[in-house]
Amino acid sequence: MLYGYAGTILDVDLTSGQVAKTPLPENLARDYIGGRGFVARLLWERVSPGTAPFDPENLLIIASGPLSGHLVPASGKTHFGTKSPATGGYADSNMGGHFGPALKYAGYDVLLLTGRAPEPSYLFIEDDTVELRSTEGYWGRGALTVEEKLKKELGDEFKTITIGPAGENLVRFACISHDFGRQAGRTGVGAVMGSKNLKAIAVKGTGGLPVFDVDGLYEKGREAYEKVKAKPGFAGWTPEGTAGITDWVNEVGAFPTRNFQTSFFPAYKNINGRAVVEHLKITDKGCFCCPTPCGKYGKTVTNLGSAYVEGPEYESIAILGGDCTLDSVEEVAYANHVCDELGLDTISAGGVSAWAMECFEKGILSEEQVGRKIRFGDLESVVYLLEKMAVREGIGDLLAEGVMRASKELGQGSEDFAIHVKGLEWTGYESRNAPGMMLAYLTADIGAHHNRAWALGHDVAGSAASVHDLISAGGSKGKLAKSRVGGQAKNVIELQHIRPLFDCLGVCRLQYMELGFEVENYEELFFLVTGRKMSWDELLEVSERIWHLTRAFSAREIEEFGRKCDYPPPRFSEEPVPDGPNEGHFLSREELDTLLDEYYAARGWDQTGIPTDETLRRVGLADVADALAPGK
Amino acid sequence: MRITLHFSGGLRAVLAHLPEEPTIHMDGPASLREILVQAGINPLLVVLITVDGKRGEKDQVIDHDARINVVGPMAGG
Amino acid sequence: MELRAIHERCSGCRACELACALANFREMNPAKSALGIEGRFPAPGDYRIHLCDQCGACAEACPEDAITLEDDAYLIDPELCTGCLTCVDVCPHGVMYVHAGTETPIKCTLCGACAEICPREAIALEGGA
Repeated sequence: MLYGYAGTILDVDLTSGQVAKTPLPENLARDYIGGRGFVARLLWERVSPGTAPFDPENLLIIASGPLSGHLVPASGKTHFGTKSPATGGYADSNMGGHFGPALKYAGYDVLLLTGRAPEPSYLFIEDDTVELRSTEGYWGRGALTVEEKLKKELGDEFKTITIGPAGENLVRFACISHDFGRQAGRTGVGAVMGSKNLKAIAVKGTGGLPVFDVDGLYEKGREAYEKVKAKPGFAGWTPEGTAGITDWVNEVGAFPTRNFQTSFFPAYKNINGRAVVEHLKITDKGCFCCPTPCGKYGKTVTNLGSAYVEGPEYESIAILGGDCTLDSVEEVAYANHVCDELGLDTISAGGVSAWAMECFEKGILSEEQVGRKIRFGDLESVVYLLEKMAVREGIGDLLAEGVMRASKELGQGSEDFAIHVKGLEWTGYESRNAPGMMLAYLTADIGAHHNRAWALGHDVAGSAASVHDLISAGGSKGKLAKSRVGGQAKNVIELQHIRPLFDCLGVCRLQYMELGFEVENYEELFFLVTGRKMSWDELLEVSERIWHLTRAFSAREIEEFGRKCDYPPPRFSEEPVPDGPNEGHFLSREELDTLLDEYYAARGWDQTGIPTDETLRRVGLADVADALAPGK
Repeated sequence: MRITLHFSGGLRAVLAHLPEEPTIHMDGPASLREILVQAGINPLLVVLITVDGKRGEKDQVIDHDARINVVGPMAGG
Repeated sequence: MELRAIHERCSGCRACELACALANFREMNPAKSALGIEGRFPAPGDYRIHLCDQCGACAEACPEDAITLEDDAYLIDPELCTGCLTCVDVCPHGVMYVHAGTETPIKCTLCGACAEICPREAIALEGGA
């Protein structure tokens, strides 16, 4: 008996409409826990090597974790995975809200989508009923609009995921949208959904979940909420949410500015957390069972129009704000809304826009090619680019490919400032003086993403001037010393196990990361839900296994995958930061090699960046070792 | 003024010998930045600071006894 | 004693729905809760908490006199309930719930589990002994 889980995998072949329900294998739950673990293992097993991301045979996997849907703080997390149209390798994206719990109450832990529906469709799930329905009138409409329409038609209790025109048009960084402002944002999961002719999924579940110790869980669950509320940071963090770190990231010179040309944005106070609260916010909007709702839902008014939007949260502030140099929170929020409705990942779409604006400035893209003049800091320019890329119209067809492919096609030096790793655009931390954070970006499994290992704090601790230097240098106007390179691997690796573990459990990591809610609580709650005694270290071992597995998947799927895919764009080695707290700093090729050398050695990978046979077997991946063995 | 400081686990992970909840005394009104420096903390290490439960900004001046929660650089992302 | 909703504090988390079902049914199933959280999106962009205010309309309408006031709450006697669902139809707040797994409609018992769990203090249990 698998306590905690709904107990079933739902397999939908969209080509034939056939639906299969199979028991969730106990060994899958035992060895991979759930969420990201299920995604990684099922991608490895069920996607044939060499399948292209837009082939019907590519899988889109949606998985909750064992704690999802239970009375545990922030148990609403749902994990999505596929083979990425952006990178060609392992892709996953985690989403807040209410979708995973709804799937569980309907009876399903995992939803496996394969094939391609013969016509634009949405999947209707209500407990046992699973059927494909026509999306007449919905195809072509925005992701938010379709959610609104579906909820009106089916009832507010239905939880939905939708794609916008970007997903329909196979934009390589299209996202999946949910709950009027949440997304599975990265790696193009929305494009894979679009390639399957699947516009939306609507779920309602009325079943309960089996709990090992329901009375114990009710008691300890209540205590968990009390503990979170008692944390000293509880009241202070929630009002601004993640937007609240905007000031600090600028003070430490790590804020993406102007296509990552520099790392300090003078207008940052116009787009920080306080600006969100004072100018936009209506509601603190949160996920299922979350005590610290990080969503800031509000209304923005600009000269291009007004809109209701959840956001902007930190990443959107960093990339639509600093990176595109939009200097008012209203404008950042409006651009955020445009992305949400079109179904574009704000991070990648913002990064692509910034790249395009730099190309235009340098004369690499002409007005004729773009269709109009574009410039940094101009909302109209940003919205124009977003609307073009979402439907692959004009210049949008190039931009929809993402900066890696677009710069390769355009050439003329534009690759030097195409800010990505492996084809995934960089997120909100400029890292020329943050070697740990840089290493985290280089080695994240999905490409340039911060959330596997947020190492910036250690970097700042290493480079921050002494207290006395700071007083004499006038506080935050001071410059930071260069962060020593070497010794970052251990911390990055630890973080790469801890943070994604939450994606396996099906809960949010913010209560742990931001408020210090202790891991012992998760050990205890995991036991009460599942009946399995697992220490945090044992859970981390599962996370480590998954790390090597996702690397192996990319190695299997991407030709010549390895070390050479782990480098940042030339900008970060060739251009010292021109101004701000980190003026003059950069990471040379030699320093990047030092970081990678140390990392591979500590990981048990060879120096080409591939997990060794010994390492794979050590972590319980003998079948993966066999598959990757030379000659296979 | 009597200032009670609470330092987050993240801050103490970086500054190994920091106590969890010290009290310091300031002679007169001081900015949060100055209070941090007095307590031996580089303000650049502080991601979030709250005063009596409400979010504060580093240049904000405190002129009364207060309880200050200092969150160090592990928070984020 | 009564429950009061402070709508503007609600973040839509629905921990209250889980706590209600746990307290009244010992089940992890928000579909068995006696209150409902409604999101009003895209506009005005907030939540409404649909609570029972013990108005007694259900008791008045029940043809079997199966719903009676005990202390401050109207409760359904499962021995007398025939499942006619008249109470569900007349409830002015839409907080009498039907679930295939229960013999009687699901109704608020004023246990206060929702107020206790709410991390936003959006539900208050007020008055009483």
